[in-house]
Amino acid sequence: MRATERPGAKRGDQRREMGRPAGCLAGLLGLLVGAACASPTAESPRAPATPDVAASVDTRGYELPARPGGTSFPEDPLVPIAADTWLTRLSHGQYRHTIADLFGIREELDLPLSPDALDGFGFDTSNAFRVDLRLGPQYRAAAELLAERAVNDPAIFARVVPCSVAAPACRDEFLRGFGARAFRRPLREADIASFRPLFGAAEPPPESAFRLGVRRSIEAMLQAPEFLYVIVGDGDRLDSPAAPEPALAHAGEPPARRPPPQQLDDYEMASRLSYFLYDSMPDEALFTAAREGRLHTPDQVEAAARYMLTQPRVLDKLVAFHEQLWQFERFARISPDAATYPMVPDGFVQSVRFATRSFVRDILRSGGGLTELLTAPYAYADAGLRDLYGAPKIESARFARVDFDPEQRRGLLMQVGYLASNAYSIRTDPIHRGLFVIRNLLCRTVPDPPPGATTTPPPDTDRPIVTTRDEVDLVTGQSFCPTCHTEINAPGFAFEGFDAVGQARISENGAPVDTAASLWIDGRLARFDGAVELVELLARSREAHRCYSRRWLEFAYGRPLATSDLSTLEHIAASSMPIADIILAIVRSPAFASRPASPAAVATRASVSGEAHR
Amino acid sequence: MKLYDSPPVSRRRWLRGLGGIALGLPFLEALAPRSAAARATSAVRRFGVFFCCNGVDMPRWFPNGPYGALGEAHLAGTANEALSPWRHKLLFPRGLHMAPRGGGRDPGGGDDHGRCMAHKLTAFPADANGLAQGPSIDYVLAQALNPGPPGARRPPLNLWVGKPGNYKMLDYISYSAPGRAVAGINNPWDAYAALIGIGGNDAGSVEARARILEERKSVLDLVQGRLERLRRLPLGKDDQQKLDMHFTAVREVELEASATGLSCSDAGLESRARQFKGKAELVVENDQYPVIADIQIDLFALALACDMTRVVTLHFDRGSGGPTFKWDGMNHEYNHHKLSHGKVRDDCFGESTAKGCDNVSGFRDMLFDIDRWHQRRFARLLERLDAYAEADGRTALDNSAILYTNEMSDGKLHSFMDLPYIIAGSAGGRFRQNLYYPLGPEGDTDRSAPHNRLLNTIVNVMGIESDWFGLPEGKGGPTMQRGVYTELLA
Repeated sequence: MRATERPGAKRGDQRREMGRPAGCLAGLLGLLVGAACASPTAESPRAPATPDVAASVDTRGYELPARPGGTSFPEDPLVPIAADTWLTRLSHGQYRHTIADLFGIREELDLPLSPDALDGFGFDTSNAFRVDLRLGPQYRAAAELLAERAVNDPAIFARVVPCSVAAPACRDEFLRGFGARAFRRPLREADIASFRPLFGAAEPPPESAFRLGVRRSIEAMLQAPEFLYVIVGDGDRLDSPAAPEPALAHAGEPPARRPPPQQLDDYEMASRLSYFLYDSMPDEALFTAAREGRLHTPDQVEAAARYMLTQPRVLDKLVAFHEQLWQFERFARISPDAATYPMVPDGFVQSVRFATRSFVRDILRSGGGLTELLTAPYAYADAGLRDLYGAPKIESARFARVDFDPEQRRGLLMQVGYLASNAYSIRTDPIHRGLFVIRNLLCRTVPDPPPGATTTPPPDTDRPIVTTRDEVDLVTGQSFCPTCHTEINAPGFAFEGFDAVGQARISENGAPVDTAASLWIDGRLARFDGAVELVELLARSREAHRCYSRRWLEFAYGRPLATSDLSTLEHIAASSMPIADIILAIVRSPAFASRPASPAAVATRASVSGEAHR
Repeated sequence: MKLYDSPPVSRRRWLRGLGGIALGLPFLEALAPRSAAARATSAVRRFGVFFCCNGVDMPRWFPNGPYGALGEAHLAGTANEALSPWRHKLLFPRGLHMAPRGGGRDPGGGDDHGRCMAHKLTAFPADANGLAQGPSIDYVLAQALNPGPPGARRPPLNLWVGKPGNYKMLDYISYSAPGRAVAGINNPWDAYAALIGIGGNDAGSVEARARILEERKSVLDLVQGRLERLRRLPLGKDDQQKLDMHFTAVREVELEASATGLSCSDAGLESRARQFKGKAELVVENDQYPVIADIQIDLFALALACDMTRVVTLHFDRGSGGPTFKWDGMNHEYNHHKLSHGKVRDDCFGESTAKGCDNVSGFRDMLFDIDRWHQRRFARLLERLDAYAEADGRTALDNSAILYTNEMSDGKLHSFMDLPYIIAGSAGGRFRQNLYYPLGPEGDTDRSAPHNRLLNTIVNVMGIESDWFGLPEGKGGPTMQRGVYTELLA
């Protein structure tokens, strides 16, 4: 480790008082960063005495025993049946973008929408969202507000009603035109007929009735399922007597034979593409392609996606994927102790968020992918962050690029966001740093700690406990704990060359930091010393790229991955593709271009919930 | 408790509760029984939860004096002193512990606070994310008590006073399904609007609102028609449920529009709630906490009295959180959680003063003041509910069971044993009243009186036959028990 030490970061040379750390599962059970309670310690009379506490284990060096198959933690399992659906409700972000595009309203509107309940799936593209009794009235309120606005704002009205109010055919022209955009496909004659009564009986409707009709139509359309959901499997099939529908299976019965999936029609594909890449309704180009029947072969779909990837707003969606994938919302828990880290500026959390997002944006814009995100030796920083990075001061307070010595800092995992959000207020948290690598970069399932583990008191020891690594070793090194913790802690220790706010260090409390460990990856035991070696290892590994591809697929499909997706996953993961190629491979994949044919093939989420990433 | 026999005009007057709530006639007619015989029976039973976080000052929380009937002296000098006027409608069970247990004694995820939040209304353990693995009692009961098609009944009203924190799992007490946490509505305007159904077009006068309702009807008919059409597709079970739920959401709105929703309103309450319309940043300010608390409590009572939902929950702040109490004679320096531990920092536990964990001197009295404040809020709720006389001669409080429950007992030690509980109201005469009763010994014991059995008792009292509540037997809660606490039943 050749990082320089920061003055003021040390807490002194003396041996630290050990106190009573909170059992071996302190990290896994989430001691919060300065914001919540610790778990009970052995002081508590309520804690039962754990009868069998093994002598402390010498854990330096972390020699992982060679197990058959290597790692203790298997890859996240695939679910047996894809939890596919014909109705995917728009996320709240998608709803807002769609409204903005539909009405041409650019400013932020006050449209409260209750946040969707958590259910384990990590992305906001989930196909399990529902309209419940809280959202129903909220959608109604939004529809009424927007309809009122559309009728009273001349600019919006002109956009929504592109004909003269007095003209006799205008009512139908409005219904056809606006309706097709709101429902994202042309309306049937019967649908148009159902809206006509909203304009009153007079033919043609006088101006006041016309405006009222427009308002009511907009209210109805914005609450209709064709607007609120991306629907596949509807099209004209319902009304066409020629199309045979597969026999309905009874609930709970396994399907005798699963018919092959059916292809999406052009309009359905246009919507699926645009919500995937734009987070909004199709644009003119996509509608035109759908109208001209140019969106149903894989080549056509790829061509459309290529076009879309040139649009600036796609970058927002790509950044959003990474934000959710690597849980940037965890930055909110960063709260370093002011006494220990007086150099941390005000507004730290916001700076870190902005800086991290800027970095991701920059990498993506220049065509980078996972490798670059993990290994690019620069970051964005304002004055406060520059201090923490040990970079020379500059004049302005803006965010600017900081280049690092590639031997010292590379990639997202050596930036303040990751380091500080996986730390306590006064020290680092190697357990969570390690968990992040194992769960989020390698897609491995780490089980819960066993019961009673929190009340396991740490053993007494004569060995001096000086550094964080010493402490973590002691606390997780006894009894059954090493079974999991040797593997969990190892990647976390690589980052001990950075303190709880991301500053580089070579010693802690007077003792040198030890960042050597090993990790089972790609079928072999790889050793590393320091974070740079670790991230290089990860960036070159097959497993990390497979994990990354897997998350992309889940994000795109809005559901946990199933065994039927395996061939797509292997195809994408086979070569570490740039992101643009991953996206093109996804839109060409069979799952993207089709919908399940039979309702019996559509499993319920509750019965097949796989373990989503955390 | 006399049965009335006055003409309809008096009926309307009777249903006018505290603060002048006006109920429209159609609602009255729908509720009022037609025969004298029908009057005494089957009033709608309702359920409420009033949940406070962290721990309480145990020496002064439970009633003084012996078990048995609650005399005048029982609540004097305790945190529950303000409840004295309603003591004949209260039941204090004692000796209950949370099951599955906390403190890592039973399998599951979450830290101590995570467990106490997640297990309390569900009796299920939490997963590694701290989310309970089963539905909470409010959702279970709403599925049985609330109107709507089976499987998609109107949900409970989940209210909240507080602001979200960094660890989201500590924000929740309610779960609609395993792992599906439900955030309480912490903005009183959102809660009021959702309840009354005014949304964005809240015109001032009753006539204007009637016009809005009429207009809405034609729009809603269209929307329903489109949903109907889609339901004819051969959908999978998940999709069917989605549409059913959506259909209910629209259909209930329609019912409100044509029958009861806009005609059950409270102008005073509305203007207080309106202060928070669109003001997300105001809602989380420390000094708005008591203001919002009272509005939410009044909404709680309104919702049950007007039968807009038959299950309401209200919880105060979040596990390991809490405001800094600077009102009603209190002027604390440290927030609720710190005082619950008696420490100057949040990450202190037990008695040690190492690592900057200094004690807060006099914290016990401060915590007692907080407890009393919470119980005065509870008293407010009971007062309002008790002011609605219902058609069967009982009050809304009598026909409900309102469960007071607390995240922990002794907050310093994160104890999940000897938990504070109150059942207010008898759910139509089913619960015993005016009683302080030991279901188990006091103090730190998890050998008897698990709380899952209490939840099961409530489920049965609400009219659902059930032998067990929570994590199935043998799956990791060895102290859980089946059946009901018959000692609590009348």
